[in-house]
Amino acid sequence: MFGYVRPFTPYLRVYENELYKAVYCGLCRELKNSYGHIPTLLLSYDLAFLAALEIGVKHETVSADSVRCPVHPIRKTRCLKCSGDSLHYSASAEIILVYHKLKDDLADKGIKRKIRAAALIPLFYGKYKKAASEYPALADSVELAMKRQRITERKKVRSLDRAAEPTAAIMNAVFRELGGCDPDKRELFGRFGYMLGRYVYICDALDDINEDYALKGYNPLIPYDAYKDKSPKLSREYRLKAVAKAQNSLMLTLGALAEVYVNIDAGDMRPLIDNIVYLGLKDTFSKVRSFALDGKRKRMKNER
Amino acid sequence: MNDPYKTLGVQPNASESEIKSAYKTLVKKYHPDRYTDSDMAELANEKMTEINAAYDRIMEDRRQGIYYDSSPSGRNMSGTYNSSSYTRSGSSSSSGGSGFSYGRTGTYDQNFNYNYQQRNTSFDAYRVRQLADQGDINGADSILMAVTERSRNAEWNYLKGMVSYRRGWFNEAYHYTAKATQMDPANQEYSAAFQQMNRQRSGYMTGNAFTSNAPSVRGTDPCDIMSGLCAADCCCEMMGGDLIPCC
Repeated sequence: MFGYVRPFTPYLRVYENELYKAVYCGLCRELKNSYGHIPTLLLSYDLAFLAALEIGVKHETVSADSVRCPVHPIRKTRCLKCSGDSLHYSASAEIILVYHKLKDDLADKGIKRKIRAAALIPLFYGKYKKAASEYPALADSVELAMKRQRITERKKVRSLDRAAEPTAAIMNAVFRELGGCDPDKRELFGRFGYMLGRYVYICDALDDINEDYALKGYNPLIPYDAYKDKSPKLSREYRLKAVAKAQNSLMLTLGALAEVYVNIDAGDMRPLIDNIVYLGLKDTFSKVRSFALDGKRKRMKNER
Repeated sequence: MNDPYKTLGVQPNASESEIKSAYKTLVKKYHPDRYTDSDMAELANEKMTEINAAYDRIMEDRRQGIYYDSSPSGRNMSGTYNSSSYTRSGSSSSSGGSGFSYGRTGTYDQNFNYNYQQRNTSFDAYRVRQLADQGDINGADSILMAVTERSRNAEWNYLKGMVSYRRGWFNEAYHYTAKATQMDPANQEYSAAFQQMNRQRSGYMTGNAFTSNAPSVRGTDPCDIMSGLCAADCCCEMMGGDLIPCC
């Protein structure tokens, strides 16, 4: 979950855009009410997608009220409420994912990230326990996948399929819950989540190539030979290769995602979800691609 | 977490349909909506969470878990992964530990090794398709991996591609499907699958309503200009004139 799943705003209708913002705001409020102020600072767009999809799939009735929040102290914003516990599930998923991400950062990222993680983990521990007790299946799956992620990184797996597996498995676990108690639906949403997780992983890997190369870190898109070059910057030839590899894999993934998506009834949220699935994902990837080709260490995910 | 097979009350070697029906029975029994009493509903809710977790875990193991850390050619490492994973989960029953899920592939291995030691030039393609349709990806893959490298024909590559596709490993799927069409270009099944993947690779997404009727915000591309010119030429010729004299 890194903020790669978002709509392509130029094609959103005005009411869809308002709805999307209201979902994000509602999720933030739910997060604040259930888990306190701190997690709201780390809320990503991907979770808003999860919340919107669940509201649509479960045909929950929504209402919006105007609230003031610390981020927009002057004007009031529309904030969504829903009849079911969709927002609560997304908020809990956010806590579980962020906690494990922080633990991962502590294990192997640069010094800046380590300090940040070390400072935040104690704050998240109690919240994580609470979320994990509500959704033990999710917490268990995420923990297992993070363990596999570390194995993958240690082994420096070359296959993009294998490298993407843990992230995809996490998203599989996150989206399965949308299927409720129907085994076939659980499989359907799980597969949808799997494809989305693959997409997120590939985007993240491509977004990171220049930084990973500079730090001599592992990245499945950088071939071994590239590290033999003494230049501090990844050469253009390797950047093009990495982009081609990522694009191939990503387009196949999105094709398969669409195959699954046509079987999902997103209810009232359909126009918004359609926009994200068919336009937003590709648009985000093309931004990631241009950043990666640029060769600078700047990354798409830091752009807001 | 307890042994997920025990939670659902099925044998570790149960088929997917058996697991699904066991799961459905338990859902019917424990669905929180059936209980009006709040204490009972809460208890049922807890039980439901446990059942869902067990079901998800079994499905995950069957889809990927066992194969995850293994190298493409051999699965000797999967044992190590499994034992460490399940020691962590703390199940010490006789069917727990490194035993329960690994034992299942173990049986497959024994069966198939037995078969293929005798005739490892061919394999049961029908069985592979059957297992893949039932969702037992690991079962199907273990048959395929038992085939020696020399006797991997076009069909083997196609099925391997299909299994990889089901797994969600599209790079592998593409590689094997391409190889299958290359080895047997006349086969329509293989080439249809390959064509579909190529279409997806070029950005096709099923059900995408945005490309055809949405207004274009990007400028006109050379393709549009050419087709426009062609159409204009046709119109002119129909009226007796000619816009492009050479055609």
